[in-house]
Amino acid sequence: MTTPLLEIEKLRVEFSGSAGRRVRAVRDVDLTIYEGETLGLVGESGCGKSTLGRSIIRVTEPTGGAIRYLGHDITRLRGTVFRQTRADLQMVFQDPFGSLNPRRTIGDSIAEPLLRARGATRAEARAAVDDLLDQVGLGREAAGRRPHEFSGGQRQRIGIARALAPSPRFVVADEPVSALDVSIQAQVINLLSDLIRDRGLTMLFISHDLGVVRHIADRIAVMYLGEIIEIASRDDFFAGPAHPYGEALLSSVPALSAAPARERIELTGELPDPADPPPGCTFHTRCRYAVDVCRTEAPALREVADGRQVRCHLPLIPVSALSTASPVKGTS
Amino acid sequence: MSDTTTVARSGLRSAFAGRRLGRGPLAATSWLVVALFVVIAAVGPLFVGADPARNTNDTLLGLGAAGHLLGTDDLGRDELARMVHGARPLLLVSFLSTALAALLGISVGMIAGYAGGRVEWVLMRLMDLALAFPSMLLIILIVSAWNPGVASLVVGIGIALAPGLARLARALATREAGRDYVMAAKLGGTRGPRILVQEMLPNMAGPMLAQVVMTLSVAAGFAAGLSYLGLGIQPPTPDWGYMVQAGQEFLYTAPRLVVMPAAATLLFVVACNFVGDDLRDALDPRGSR
Repeated sequence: MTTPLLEIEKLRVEFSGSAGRRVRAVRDVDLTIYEGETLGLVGESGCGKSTLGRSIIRVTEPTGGAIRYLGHDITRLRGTVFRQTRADLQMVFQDPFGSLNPRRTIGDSIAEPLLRARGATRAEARAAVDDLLDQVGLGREAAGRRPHEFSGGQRQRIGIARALAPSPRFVVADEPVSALDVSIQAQVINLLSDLIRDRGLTMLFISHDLGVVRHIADRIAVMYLGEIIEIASRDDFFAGPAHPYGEALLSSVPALSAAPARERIELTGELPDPADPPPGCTFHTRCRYAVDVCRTEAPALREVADGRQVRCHLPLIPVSALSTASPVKGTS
Repeated sequence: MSDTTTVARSGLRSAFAGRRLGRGPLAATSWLVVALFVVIAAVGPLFVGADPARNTNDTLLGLGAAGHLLGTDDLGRDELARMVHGARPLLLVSFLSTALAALLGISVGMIAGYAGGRVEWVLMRLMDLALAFPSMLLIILIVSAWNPGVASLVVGIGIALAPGLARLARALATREAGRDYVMAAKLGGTRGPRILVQEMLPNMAGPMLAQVVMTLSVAAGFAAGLSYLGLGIQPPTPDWGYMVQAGQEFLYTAPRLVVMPAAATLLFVVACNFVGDDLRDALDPRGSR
């Protein structure tokens, strides 16, 4: 887990809203994703986590910054080279109903990336489809059927099979279980865990559900208003977040009875308008520890302990000797 | 290729699922009328012995005359043969120009909706430009710049009716292009043209088809109007529009020479319109049935 698979540098995504407003959904994000890890990306709705995930694989084109895949800049790749390289990067979508073409059979949908990006013959693709359907637990007889014949959980398995078809190295899973019944969620998460282990997949797992993330992620990145505000290993994060926002997120997870009740921190106020973010630290409007400097000066993402970065003037964990160094990125 | 057509066909089948065509006497009659006209135009001439272009001395015979069921015109030509043969130009021009309009309009609209940005802006402003001309004027311009006949009528009407279809296609394509299954196809390395035809088109087929059939009735109206003005197929080949024009002279002495081709044209245009309505109702998921 030390070779960087994807290095994201100053990635920026802007949308032009109504009346010339520019919404900066992703604001100069630096992020390194290491080979074989599952990085959990968490944050509340509208913080830009889906947009970040989509822009890393260029489903949404970034407006600025660079994406390096295995050391090669893929930010401006085009044409056939781009299509074939990008097939290494796949996605599992949130909505199991919208992500499959209702008019095509399951087999055709799963075979498509093999035929288009991997140059497989029809016979090869058919055999691979059968294998994939077995692997996701649906059985090969599903190949001839259409999406409407399947339940949400089954469709999500089909979506996973399609994402895995071109043998990708990296998969963005964008809230893959949030549209499913709780009883089905665990099955799909377990399937993903198994596939990650068996195939050595690297994954960006986007979710607002910390319980799910805790189960699957090796590292956690917390996003707020288009910026990454904390990166930590899973155990460090759940032991105690370094950012006040992370603390509030964690306190909102309902605890099971045996555990001592945590103090529940309620965030007041709305998520600020991403087209007009507050000055200083973007979180100061809702932060219970905010002091004067937070309102005027934007903190940088800095390393406060080994492999732990936080964007806060007053991190909640003791700052180790490392921290004398100013902003660091991509170290682990 | 074969799997693409299967997809398109099944797309339509599921778009129709649970809904029926030709409900109600009006819709059922309209479908029958359109079908009847198509059959007459296709095989009718084989069953009519008389030559529609042969002049005889039996001029202006009335209905039911011996050997001439619908009488003859001012040049003694058999009116039944002329009516049956005359269906061909109208239907040919209507169907071909609608097909051309559909091909042009759907291609332009889908490319615009899928590409977005500057491509979309340029293509749709071109369509606006074409729509800014009165259609009839635009068609007359195109037809008279060329020589009148089936080919120029088809091209003229096709171009004039394409922008309306392009607008609908753009709206539908914009909606489909934003769906996750299109993103997934892109991620799978599928090229743009294939995404348009294989992924998106089957999902737009329902509403698009209804609009194309509505366009058919407009095309039939234009085709009839232009051949009346003498811009259609040239005599002596029989054609309803031209027959109305030629018969005007005898409006008081032999009104059937005008009434029969005019009524036939009207019947076809109106029936096409109702067929389009019926298709739209059947395909509209918000329909009450």
